[in-house]
Amino acid sequence: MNLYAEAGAGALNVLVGEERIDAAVAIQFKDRMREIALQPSERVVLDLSQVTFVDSSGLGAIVAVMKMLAPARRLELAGLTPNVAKVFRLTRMDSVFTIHPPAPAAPPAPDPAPLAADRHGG
Amino acid sequence: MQADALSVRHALRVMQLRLAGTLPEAVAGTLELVLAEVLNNIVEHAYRGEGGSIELCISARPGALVCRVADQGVPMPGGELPDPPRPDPALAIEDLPEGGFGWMMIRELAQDLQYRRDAGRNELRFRLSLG
Repeated sequence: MNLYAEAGAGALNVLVGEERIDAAVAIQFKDRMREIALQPSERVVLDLSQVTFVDSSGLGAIVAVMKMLAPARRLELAGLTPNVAKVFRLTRMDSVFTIHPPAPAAPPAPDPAPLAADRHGG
Repeated sequence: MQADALSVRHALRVMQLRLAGTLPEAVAGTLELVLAEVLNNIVEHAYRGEGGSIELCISARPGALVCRVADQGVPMPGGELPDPPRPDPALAIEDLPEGGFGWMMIRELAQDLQYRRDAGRNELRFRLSLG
């Protein structure tokens, strides 16, 4: 179970580096989150952008982590992919968690031509 | 297939690879979720984590997939499929359920759920609409 934690701006950001949080890894996920949460922070934000599948066991583990952090700290979610968002919606857990909307699309990259010309000229 | 969490993962992956391109993405996602819930319930409850075998059959019908899943584990409690209440979003965090989500989702996503216990065997049938 790959979880990457980074502290910043009052929040502990935890990126889940796995495609699945399912019955096969739900207990591991809960245990690893328990260790990571020892690090103090006001909020914990779970980044699920690399997760394409969560089942009821995975959802139960995420709810358990939220209960473990409460009442002092709140678990927030970010980067839900469509199938994962559906699981939260079907079980009404979408109204229990703070779910951050996806980051706005990056602005189009500037035209590289002038840069290339500069380099060529220099 | 064998009744353990990693075999469930493997079966779902094989199924997704076989069906890739033949089903709309949302339907493939629904099928994976419903089957994951049904199969993991058998692993955890019918076989109580002690292993066993599961028979899985999926057939395509006009506008729907028909699934049949059978095992030789313990029967459903009361001989009926669970129907857990949907949690009230106003519940305090400490009162939120950590289980029961599987049957909530199966009941939301599958149609014509039928359960039968016969000669030491559990058989569950359901349909998933392609529409």
